[in-house]
Amino acid sequence: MKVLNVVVCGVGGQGLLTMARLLAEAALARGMDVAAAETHGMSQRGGSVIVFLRIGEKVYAPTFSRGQADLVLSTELVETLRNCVYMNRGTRVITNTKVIYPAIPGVYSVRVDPSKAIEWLRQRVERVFPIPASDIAMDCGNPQATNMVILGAASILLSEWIDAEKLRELVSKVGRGRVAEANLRAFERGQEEMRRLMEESST
Amino acid sequence: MARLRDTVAMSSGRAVLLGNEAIARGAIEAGVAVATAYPGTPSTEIVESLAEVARDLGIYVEWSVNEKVAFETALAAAMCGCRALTAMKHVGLNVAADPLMSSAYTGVEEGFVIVTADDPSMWSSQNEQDNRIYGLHAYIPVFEPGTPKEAKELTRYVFEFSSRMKHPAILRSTTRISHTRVVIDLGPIPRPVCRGSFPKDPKRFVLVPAHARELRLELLKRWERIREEVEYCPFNCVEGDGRLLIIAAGISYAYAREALDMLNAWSRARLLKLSSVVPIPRKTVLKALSDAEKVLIIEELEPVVEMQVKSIVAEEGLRIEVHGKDLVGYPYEMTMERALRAIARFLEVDYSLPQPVAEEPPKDMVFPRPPQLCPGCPYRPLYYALRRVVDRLNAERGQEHEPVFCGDIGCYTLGLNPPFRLHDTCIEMGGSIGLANGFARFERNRIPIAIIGDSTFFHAGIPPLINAVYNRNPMLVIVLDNRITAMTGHQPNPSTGVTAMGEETKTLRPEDIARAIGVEAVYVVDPTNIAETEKVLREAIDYVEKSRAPAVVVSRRLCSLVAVRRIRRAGLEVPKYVVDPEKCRGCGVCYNKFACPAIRPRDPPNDMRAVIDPELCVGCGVCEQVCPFHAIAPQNPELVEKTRGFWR
Repeated sequence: MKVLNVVVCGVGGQGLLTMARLLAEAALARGMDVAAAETHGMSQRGGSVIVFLRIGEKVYAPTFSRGQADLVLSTELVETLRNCVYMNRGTRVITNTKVIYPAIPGVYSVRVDPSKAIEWLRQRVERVFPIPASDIAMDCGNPQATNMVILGAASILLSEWIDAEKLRELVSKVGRGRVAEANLRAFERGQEEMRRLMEESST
Repeated sequence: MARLRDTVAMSSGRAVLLGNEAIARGAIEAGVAVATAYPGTPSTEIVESLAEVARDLGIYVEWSVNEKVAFETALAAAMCGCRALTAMKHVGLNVAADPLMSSAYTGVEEGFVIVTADDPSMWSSQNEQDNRIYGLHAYIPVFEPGTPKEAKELTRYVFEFSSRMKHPAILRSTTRISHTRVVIDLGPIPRPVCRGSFPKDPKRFVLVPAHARELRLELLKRWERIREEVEYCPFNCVEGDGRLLIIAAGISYAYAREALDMLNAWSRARLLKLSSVVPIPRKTVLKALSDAEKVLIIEELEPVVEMQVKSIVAEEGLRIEVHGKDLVGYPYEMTMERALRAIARFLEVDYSLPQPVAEEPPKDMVFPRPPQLCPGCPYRPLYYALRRVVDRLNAERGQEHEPVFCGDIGCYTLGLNPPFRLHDTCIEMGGSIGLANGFARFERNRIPIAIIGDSTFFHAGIPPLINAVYNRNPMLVIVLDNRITAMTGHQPNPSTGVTAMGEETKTLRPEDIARAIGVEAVYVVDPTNIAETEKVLREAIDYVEKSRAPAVVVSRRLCSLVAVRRIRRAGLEVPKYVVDPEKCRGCGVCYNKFACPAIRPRDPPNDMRAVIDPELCVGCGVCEQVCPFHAIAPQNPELVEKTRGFWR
């Protein structure tokens, strides 16, 4: 059995470690071996974050090399582009469409047009699934639930690798009360959006 | 969510744990009674997770003031017959190197495991030293997991090993072991022995020269026994039966193993996995070498195993080609690419992998995203004030008199970046005040300004400050007291008033220490009062220059992440600040000079008026003071009053 290589990326503070952790738990519930190599320390202070997630019958190495990603899950569009080196033509890419600018004097003059960024990806990667995850999260009542939208979308593609019910259950336990409800809504909206995009691309 | 604390009641089953939690779990399953550390990435979660379960298990866990004290506390416990663990990042072992060296002479009564978490590729460190060399240097055996999954069982084994040999042992982890989350099989938890008896024996524990000379001979004898014993380490193993031998140490094993799968090369190759890396098991290696055509040693950083293998080859007069660093290279962590390239060249085979879609990201659309100070960070207003004071001084008397900013280890190192540019040096813990002692004497035009956090001040900042007082070295020392060790994820320290196990304790104040050791000019400011902070900084600089003596400014304000957490826990919302678009003139002071990540221009380059992102604003309110046009105000002033007390 092949090992599935997943890049989980975005900006420090967006809940990427949580995302990878939930996927790892859901993979274990499916009886899979799993490794999630995280980024800690200095880079977590609003910097670029990447988690290498690997699922399979037996996983040894914690990371993989350029061009080896089967799936990229990204909560920020510029970070998706930054990690293009891990993609090959067949990689599936689920990305938020929002661009987050860093607070560096001068960087304000650089503007990234999301549609151009997505076009750049589409010219190189066959299956790109852009999702307005931040807008959906805001709409669900928790702007911090962007990661849950992407996670919901990912769950559609990972049905052979994870226990989807378990993942849903884990998502419902992140946070309490209103936050938990919003997270679950965000997760489900991500699933719906992904199904819609897949139908679109198949017709 | 499985975290270590959710597994304390489990004696079987499986859980997804971080490598560091797996090490902690291994220590618990080995009956650890004492764990000590000073936090440092990538080691922190070992003792942090143990602290969370300490009361449940009845064990003792502490954040020590530095690695040397952590080492000594754990060593004394092991001398009393209690199993002890001390954990630190690689550079932390430099601080503890003094007792490390001598602990091999005294030995211990029960298992004593020193965990060093090295950081190849320097993800969060100032260098990438290979601490396996400390093992060779100190005569202390070193063990490394070959995969993150193995970390728990190996930890248990290293405790047993140390206990049996009555000798300290090093467990070496690396970032990719410590910070990878994997599936761990749980085992039973024994009852720890939490109190022991120190076997008084001055000939063993008092290292005067006469005793040390005897102990040195005993150490060499013990080392021979250790060399024998590592032959039986069950974590060393051979896979495959080809005649091209690959010896893989530590995490390189995981990569080498997958590389051999990918190259489909098992018929020609044999893989010797080594977890006992200092000393290597001589007989096991000799046996593997005996019918090998040639050998490749694959390991991260320094050729520690390679040198030992080469020495065996030389001693035995073997005629065998030995490869290692020539094919693998020295710097940075092991990657799949490196392992594949080295092994393919060694086996003289070709391989092809799916091509990346691009060699590098599109430059016109990908901007850099370095880490930055958080919104509400109390370092930002201090840096803003200091930069303004220094800029005014520069204007008065010239750039060549700008102070030397001696920085230190912590979030505040980010003051290096524009717009503040307030770090000219950053070498090691406490190095700010240490180097300032030298700059104070030998820099012709510039006074030194040392910038150091509370935890770093307690760790290694006090002796160099005593030196400055004693030797009359003029310098300004700014202690950024956010009352927590923030960079590593908010561990309490002597400024917090709480211990690792959550008990209330005395709060130590840097200003009290400064006064007690003879600093005559000591100031305390709340950095969020910008005008006052600028006044105090100017006064302190004048004092240093005129009196030619050290001065200390303590800048005290709670870490914003801690403050926000407390506010939310109290069921309150943080206040949000808003920009009045009628008053804002787009001068950019708030986003360019103050550089709060929550503030940005509305629609550059057309509309440069500021706007505050409500997702990021935590309501510190300093931008209100910074704005020259009074365009920024709280949305809900009542909330500002209600939450004010949480920031102290």
